[in-house]
Amino acid sequence: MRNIFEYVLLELRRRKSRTLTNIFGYLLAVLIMVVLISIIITAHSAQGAVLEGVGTHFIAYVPLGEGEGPMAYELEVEELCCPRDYMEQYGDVVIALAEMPPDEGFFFGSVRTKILPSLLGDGRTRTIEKAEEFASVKAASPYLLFRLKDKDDGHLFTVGGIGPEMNKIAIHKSVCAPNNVVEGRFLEDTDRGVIMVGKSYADDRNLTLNDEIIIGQRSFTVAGVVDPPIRPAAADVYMSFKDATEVLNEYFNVHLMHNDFNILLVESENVYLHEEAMESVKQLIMGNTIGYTYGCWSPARKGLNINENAIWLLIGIIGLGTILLSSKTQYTSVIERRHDIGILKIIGWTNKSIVSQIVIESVFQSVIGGILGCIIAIIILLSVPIPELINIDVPGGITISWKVLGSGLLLALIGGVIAGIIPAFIAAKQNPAEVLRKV
Amino acid sequence: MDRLCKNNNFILECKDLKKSFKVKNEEIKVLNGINLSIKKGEIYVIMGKSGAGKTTLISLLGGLERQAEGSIVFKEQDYLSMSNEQLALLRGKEISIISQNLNLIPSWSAFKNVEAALIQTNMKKEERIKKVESLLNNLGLDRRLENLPSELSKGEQQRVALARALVTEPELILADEPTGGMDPNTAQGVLHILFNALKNNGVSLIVVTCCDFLLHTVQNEFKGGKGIFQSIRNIYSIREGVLYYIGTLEEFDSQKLFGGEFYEKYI
Repeated sequence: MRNIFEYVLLELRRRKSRTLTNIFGYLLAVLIMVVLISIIITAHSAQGAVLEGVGTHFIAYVPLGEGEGPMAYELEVEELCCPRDYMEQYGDVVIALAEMPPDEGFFFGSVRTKILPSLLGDGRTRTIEKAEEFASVKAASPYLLFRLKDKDDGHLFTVGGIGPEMNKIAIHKSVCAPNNVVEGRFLEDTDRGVIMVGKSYADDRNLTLNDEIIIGQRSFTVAGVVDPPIRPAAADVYMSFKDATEVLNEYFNVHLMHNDFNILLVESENVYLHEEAMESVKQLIMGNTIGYTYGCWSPARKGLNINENAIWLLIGIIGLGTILLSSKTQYTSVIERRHDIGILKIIGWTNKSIVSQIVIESVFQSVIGGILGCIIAIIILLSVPIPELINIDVPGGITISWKVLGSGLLLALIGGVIAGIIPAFIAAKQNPAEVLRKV
Repeated sequence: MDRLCKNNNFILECKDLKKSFKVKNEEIKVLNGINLSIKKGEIYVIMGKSGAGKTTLISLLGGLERQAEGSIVFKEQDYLSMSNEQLALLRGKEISIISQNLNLIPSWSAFKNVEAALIQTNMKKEERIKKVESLLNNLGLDRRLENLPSELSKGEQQRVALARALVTEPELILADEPTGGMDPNTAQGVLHILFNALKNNGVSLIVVTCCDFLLHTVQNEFKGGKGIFQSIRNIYSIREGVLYYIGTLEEFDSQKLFGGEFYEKYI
């Protein structure tokens, strides 16, 4: 192969202008590809950050329809580990929910919701764990959101039971986060008998730290005041999940299992998987699930995709065009060298050697063009203020990814092989006997 | 196996070799049952007019074409059972072909043209350089190594082609009109070099040529069985695809048949 390479260089030197044209073609193609893809990636991350600010979190719940049972789905008795007790207790819930006053119970906004059991239909898999198994889901948390009436003055207030989850990102994005605390502290998993109150509710009810208030039949101490920005699952009062379960069981005289909930808080892996995450969670919960998310997310993402797809199309056209042009040049070169190739076959060059020579010629040009394209792309990306030119705000500057550079080179390499392989086989088919007859 | 060369003295043997071409649905028979056995170290001259089938015979014997009837066996290897790649390797190592138009690659130097024949041999670069330079020096081209063929005289070009044929140290050289288009002096010089190069090293040579080859060179040189051309012991003629044995150069010369009945009948 090394011997053949000498003759490759000889041929490339012999046709200098054609060689330079081919190298320049690949250079241009790889340069454009690397620059455009780098811009896409940079714009992607910049716009992704903007969209994530809009929200990559959503809320899933199942509304309770007229005459429907309170469970999001029915568990098969024989599949449960302790079916009798479980079903007996849910029997209580069914009756209690049916008898609940119209303005109290499980609500999301003004919509009454069903209960989502902590175990899935097979009775063994935890709903939260299953949701977090989706690649599109970063974190999921159970949440109890219910409305109660104050026994003293009859005002309605909402209570949020925060799930005892390790990864609280879904709670922080949809309910409230430690940095929303304006007084006191944020709830901890081990807390019992303490609550946080929303600032507007605290102001309205004149509540301050360490005040005692009665919720249901229990007394709670105010440990913190929070003032979250607009959050879809915000409540007036927040308590631990376990406390919330016990308050509900006592207040409505039911026996909710420890981790049953009515709202599933989900954080998507990223904005681009947001839709997929919503769909996956809906299918997991089944029933008439509603995925609540911010409305501006979808059109923003679609808008981004339009630009992105156009750029990918452009890259594809450039890549294909380069390969076709290079093939044509290589083919012309082979046609011009038909006689020479015939001579080489007469003196004993095998088809393999001839194919190797033509393909190596093509690949050599494409790789040199690719390397130069990458180098010039890096220089351009580092020296030209592209973010300012395309009007995007990128704090860290434009992204130069080794993967993109590697892909550019790989594409050039593949282009070189494709452009060389057909002319190479045409060359190898040359009948050397014709050369012998030519005088 | 009965088709294979059993006699060690024969390095190539073709039996009942037939070849035809189709031109506009008409089948034209070019070779019509050629039988030829080539002994190691001997020179064979096959004379024939244009269109007699000389180049086709060389193409078949060199493995450049495979579509033919009959058999060609080279050192116990039947061409029909060999792949194109095997035949190419055979040409690269054991059989060399010299053609009338020399077939030098115009954009490569004399050195590169010769060296190209060694590419398939896995020889180290240093060895290749040494061998090619030595051969070209012996042929008087030591100052012409880096010249392109267009910068060389016809005789020099012929010597480069000769060097390319010899550099692989083949066992058989097939020469198709090696002096075609040359003036008698140049032709004679080239033949001297060719025959001298082959002398005493056991290489067999098949030369196909039109009659001018002998008329202008060999016969003038061959005077009373002396000179370098006396080693030609196998002269054949080919006519309408059939091979006729004429004899040794001495017999050929003694018959003085040029222009006579024999010439008209067989050549």
